[in-house]
Amino acid sequence: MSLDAQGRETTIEQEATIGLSQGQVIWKRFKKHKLAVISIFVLATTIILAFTSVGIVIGGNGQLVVDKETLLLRPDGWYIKGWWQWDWFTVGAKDLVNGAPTWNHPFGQDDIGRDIFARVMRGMQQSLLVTFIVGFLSTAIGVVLGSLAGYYRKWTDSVIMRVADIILIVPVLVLGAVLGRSVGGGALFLAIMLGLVAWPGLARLVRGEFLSLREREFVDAAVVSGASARHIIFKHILPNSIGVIVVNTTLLMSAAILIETSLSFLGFGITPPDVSLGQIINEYQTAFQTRPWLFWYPGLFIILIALCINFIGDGLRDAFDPRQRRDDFTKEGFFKSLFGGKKIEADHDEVIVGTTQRENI
Amino acid sequence: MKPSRLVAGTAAIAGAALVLTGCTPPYQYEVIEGTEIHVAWNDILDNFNGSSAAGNNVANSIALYMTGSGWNYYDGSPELIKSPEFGSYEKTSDDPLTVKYTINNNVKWSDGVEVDEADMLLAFITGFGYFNSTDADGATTYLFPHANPRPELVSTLPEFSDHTLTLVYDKPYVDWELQFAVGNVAAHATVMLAYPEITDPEEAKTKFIEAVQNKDVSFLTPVAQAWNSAFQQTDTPSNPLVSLSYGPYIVDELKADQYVALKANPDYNWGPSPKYEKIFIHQYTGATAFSSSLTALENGEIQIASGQPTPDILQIAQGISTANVFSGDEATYEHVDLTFNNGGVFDPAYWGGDAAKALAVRKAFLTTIPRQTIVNELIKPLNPNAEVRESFLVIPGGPGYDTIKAEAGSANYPVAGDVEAAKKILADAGITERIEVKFWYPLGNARRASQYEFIAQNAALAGFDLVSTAEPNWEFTDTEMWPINPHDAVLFAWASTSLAISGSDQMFGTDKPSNFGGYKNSEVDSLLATLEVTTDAAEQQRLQLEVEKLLWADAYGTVIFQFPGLTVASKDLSGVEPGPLAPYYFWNFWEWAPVATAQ
Amino acid sequence: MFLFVARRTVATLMVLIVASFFVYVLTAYSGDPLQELRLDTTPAGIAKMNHAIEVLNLNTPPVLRYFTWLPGAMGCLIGQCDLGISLAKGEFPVTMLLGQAMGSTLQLITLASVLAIILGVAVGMTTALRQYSGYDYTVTFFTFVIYSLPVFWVAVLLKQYGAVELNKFIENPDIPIWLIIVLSIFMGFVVQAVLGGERRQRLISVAFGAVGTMVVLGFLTFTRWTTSPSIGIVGVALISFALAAIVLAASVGFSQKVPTMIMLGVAAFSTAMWYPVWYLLEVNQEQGFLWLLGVIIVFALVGWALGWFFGGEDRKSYSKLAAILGALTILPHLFNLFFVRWDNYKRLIQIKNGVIPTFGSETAGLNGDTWMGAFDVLLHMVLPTVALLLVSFAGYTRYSRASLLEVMNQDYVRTARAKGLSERKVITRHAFRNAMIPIATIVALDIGGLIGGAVITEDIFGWSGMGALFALGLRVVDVNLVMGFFLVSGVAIVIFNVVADLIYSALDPRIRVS
Repeated sequence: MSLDAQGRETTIEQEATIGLSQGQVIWKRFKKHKLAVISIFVLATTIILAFTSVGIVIGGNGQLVVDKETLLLRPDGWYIKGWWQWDWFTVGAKDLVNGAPTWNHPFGQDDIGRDIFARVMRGMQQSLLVTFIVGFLSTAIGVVLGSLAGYYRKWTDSVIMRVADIILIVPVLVLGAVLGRSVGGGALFLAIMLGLVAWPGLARLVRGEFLSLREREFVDAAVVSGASARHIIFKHILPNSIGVIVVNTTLLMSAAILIETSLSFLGFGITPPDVSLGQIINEYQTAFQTRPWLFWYPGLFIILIALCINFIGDGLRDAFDPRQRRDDFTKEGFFKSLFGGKKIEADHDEVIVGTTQRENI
Repeated sequence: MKPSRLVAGTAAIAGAALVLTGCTPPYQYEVIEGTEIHVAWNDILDNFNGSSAAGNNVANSIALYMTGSGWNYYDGSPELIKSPEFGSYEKTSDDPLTVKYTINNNVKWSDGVEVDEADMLLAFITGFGYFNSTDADGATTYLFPHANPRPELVSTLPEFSDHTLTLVYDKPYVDWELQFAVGNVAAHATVMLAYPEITDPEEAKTKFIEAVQNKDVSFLTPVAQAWNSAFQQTDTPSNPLVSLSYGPYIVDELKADQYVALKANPDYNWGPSPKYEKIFIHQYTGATAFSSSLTALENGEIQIASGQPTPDILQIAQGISTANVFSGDEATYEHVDLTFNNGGVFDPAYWGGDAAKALAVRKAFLTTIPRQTIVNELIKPLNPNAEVRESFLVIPGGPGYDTIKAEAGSANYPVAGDVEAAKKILADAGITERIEVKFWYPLGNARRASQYEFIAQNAALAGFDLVSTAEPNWEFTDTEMWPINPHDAVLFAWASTSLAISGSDQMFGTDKPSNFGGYKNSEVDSLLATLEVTTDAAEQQRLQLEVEKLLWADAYGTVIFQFPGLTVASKDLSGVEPGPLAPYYFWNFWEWAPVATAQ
Repeated sequence: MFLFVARRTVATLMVLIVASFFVYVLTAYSGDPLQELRLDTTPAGIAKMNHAIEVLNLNTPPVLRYFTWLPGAMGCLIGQCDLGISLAKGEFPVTMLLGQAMGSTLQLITLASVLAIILGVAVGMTTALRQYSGYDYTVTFFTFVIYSLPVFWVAVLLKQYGAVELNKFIENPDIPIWLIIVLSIFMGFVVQAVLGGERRQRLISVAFGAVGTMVVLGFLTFTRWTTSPSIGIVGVALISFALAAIVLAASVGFSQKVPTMIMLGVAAFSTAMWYPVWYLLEVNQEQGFLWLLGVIIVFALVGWALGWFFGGEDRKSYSKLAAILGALTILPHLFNLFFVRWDNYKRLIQIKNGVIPTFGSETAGLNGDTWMGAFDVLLHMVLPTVALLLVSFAGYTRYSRASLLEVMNQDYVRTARAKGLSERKVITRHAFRNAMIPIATIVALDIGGLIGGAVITEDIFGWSGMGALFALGLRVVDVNLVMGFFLVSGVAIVIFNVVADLIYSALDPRIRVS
């Protein structure tokens, strides 16, 4: 340990981060998680690919309409074409009888000659939309309500937590069924509804954080110095629980993509003619042995998205947790401890020294 | 025991060849000891009374088909076949329609009690709602909660004597051959379940008959309760009276949501002998039921599976080297109906009351529908033999279908979907503007979404702009919500459950509940009304042809295809021959036989 | 404490009533229960529709209909449940259907949960101990992959490779020699990655892992063991001693003589009991499971006694460990009992190759004895259990890894190290127990959720439990069925929520419920 400029003791962890803003510190830590960094790039690439390749539809009711000029079908709403030569809705001739992948259609074609790459890309758009909207909405609601409950406690807490309980025990599938059947499953609407009911878990966590943080000295100090409740919540307490929030959000997002898939499986999700990854998988789950390209590509992209989000979450968790270090304090091993108990005791000091040294890397 | 390890079947049959009865041909007991077969269905038995409102469903009817007998059944064609070994029925008079039913003397319930007039009487008072009362609001309540009581057909108590019963209809009835069956519950069993103190079956029968004759409702009320609820069982019933059988099989074991095990009825000799000693019907349900059952079939867990195929499922089925694949039609058929009364483009009101213009628009639209493309792209991959259906009333292969196909006028709507012809029809009618059609299909169904695409694309070329009003709830079928169908055209399927002719008026008759398009044609109405009371088969077919001609001429709508069905059976057994109507592939279960493999 | 529970109970009731109202109305508006019936235009179809309208009271708007349902449900508080009848399930009372479904669901989830917790915690904690090692990265990667898999996607693969192909292998266990060699080398690397250590130790690990795998696989393929597996006294001995080694490795290690000898003693006892146990369980099939329980207790008692009398100073902890080991060593005996029946069982079932079924929860009409029945049920549980296991295993791995990492950074762990405790003791005595506190609460919450069944897993593997009931109810808009499901699952969730809070406060003295 050493003394910093003001003569306070600093720990070794602090030394590694002196002179950096919180964001820089977190980014510095995050960068160490290689899989997380790779995941960010992969996810970004995927998003760009999904939204540029087959174009986007803004507005519209998810149905197909006749284009007045070409007399061909196109999606309802404002449809901007992408750079990929095929779209996800036009039926056409199949290059090969079974629709197997060709140079022309790298992911193959379905029963009526639609391009699977285009369908998977469109499906990804929808799944990503669901993922991010659910993540954003539920985080916003969960943080606000969780903060209020944890900060004000008493009846505010009771009311919010009971509402959370109610939402928690209403099965998601019931909501999905109502949505799927009464609205006809637009991705946006589905995402918003899922987002509106996915917050209770996060609200609980945030509340828990608040309950313990608001007892800390720095909050007392802020209260004494006359800070408003809003100031205390958003400037003092919330930044301290950002780690929990970020991690939970990523978990929720990867869960959302799977929930969308499950809903589609049970017939309650996004419906044809629009496409979601879950719906494609569901429709072609029996294609596993016969037309594997229909089974594997959409599934692999779901896994890819969920995997990236999970890794990013894992990286963020490590980055936000100041106590986490890349220490290999037990590298000496389980193995040794199995067969040479005495030796490990002798090595013990060395082990600890080893860990402290590594912290400076 | 695994079929593959069977001893050659013929040896076992030999010893049982000598049971002779009064009927032709001599009955041969052909059940092979130690054989069993496992089949998959989406639900299993949960009610031993398949006639009650609670028990009337396909799953029950299948198991009960094997534990019961009847005067006739549908074969795979489907054609109605009589069963003289069980008994006979004959129309003794046309006016009033009188039918005499006889059951042979050797037919017995599995507890040894004869199946006779008491059982027929029970079937009568339940199926014809003999005991009913009408309250002030005009609502009729029935003593026995039968699924479909028909008091308007026969209102007088029939004559009956030893093993016979004679029904006298109030008016002629087109489906008289299908209307009456003994059902699955024994009169004595029902009475003994209602009155446990009665232990003698004959006494029970006598009391029951007397009560019916004397209209002793107080005696019959507990009987009706027993009839309704005592037969509801999810597991093997503890009281053997519940599971009495008078068919080739007896329910041996019932395991809720898992399987029902049937074993051969040793006393059965009033029909062809089954070959398997045991039949297990397994419940395969849920979203993946069919593919699950195919995996199970490949794994050897079951021997027969069926369902609606996808191209992949068909290919998987064909890839199972140990199985035979049967592609065929189901009774359900896809069709497009147009709406005549909603002020839309198919309604004369839209054209200022010009009926000819509206007719031209309807004809033009129907002409564009590429029915053959739809069948080729969506159905042929599932059923190589699929064809475009050409009749509203008759299932392909059914009586009179070929005549209707040839003569009714469907040829005016080319199956390929003729854009040029449609343009010409519109031009001839003096219509030049583009026409917007509100088109509904059930949202969430991929096959229908694809059909919509084909239809919309072709129609667009001829001048129709289809606007999808698809929603998943079939709201227009709820006539309280939508007294008038808001959509101009609807695409869905009608399910046929039998070859019954009555019921067509529901779809085509003026103001009938299932006539969602508001179609009105008094000629059709009177033809259908005549059809309802026509008992002669040739005359029935003539009337149906007339109706069809009018429907096509009025451009009522169009029919596209029969739903494809797929049945997959292990090569370990022979005799499977799926049919399109309930009980589907079970109809000839007695012909299922193990294929002996080389040892 | 009492006040806490009482207050929560009242709040819970209110929550349930409000939520049930929402679920009721939402379900009722989710679709048209008569949709199928509307398309049957025959007189029979129309009669059916009228019947459904009458039975389900469909002419009453759902909001009002809820209040005809509520009194029956409130009856549950005084033991007189009336949840109506289910039209979709043959008009049976919903309470009866729920009873059947719950039994089936509990049977399925219990084993899956226990296995998921044990494996998840074990893997999660070992990855935490080797944080950022190749092992950690590999496990992290695969758990995330598993975590990202749609369950029905997994199910398709499981049925193909876990049943159809595996069955073919069981019937014909030929592993090419090159594959044996590749697998052995691979396993060697896995073993060293898990155990870690210095280069020399790692080499030893590789050797052990590779040779062990080679022996096992070679044995499988050359004796064609899977075609007619048996355990016998040799198998019982091998497995018992292996279990002893595992228990030792997970607790005190092999370095101390006393516990090692005690564990060896327990294993030896189990081996010696091979014939008596077999005989007892074969003869007393009538109350087979009671006898089995008795044997387990005897085994545990013997273990405990060995620990107590030879344990010396540490007798308390050794006797506990030995008792656990004793109970565990019943496993080889049980499998011995099952495998004896293997050939007979295969003759009785329909499956052509092997024994692993893809659907359902038991073999229909299996005329076997008690143990064959138990074996049959276990085999039917293999695939759905693996599917459920995969899903929750991933979660537990992550949680326990995070939890142990958190704890390892705590001051009291440093203190423990500083006072000179061995790393093993630091982990087993201090870190592990504290790391388990949050896991315990997560387990409680999970169990609450699991009672609602696994909708998709049950659907795919033909397990007619709560999830299947719920899915059916939703599909055909059977409100009573959905509400029955909701009541059970909702009550379970809220109860286990409270339980989780209580566990937390019981295990962690810093937290008080109020």
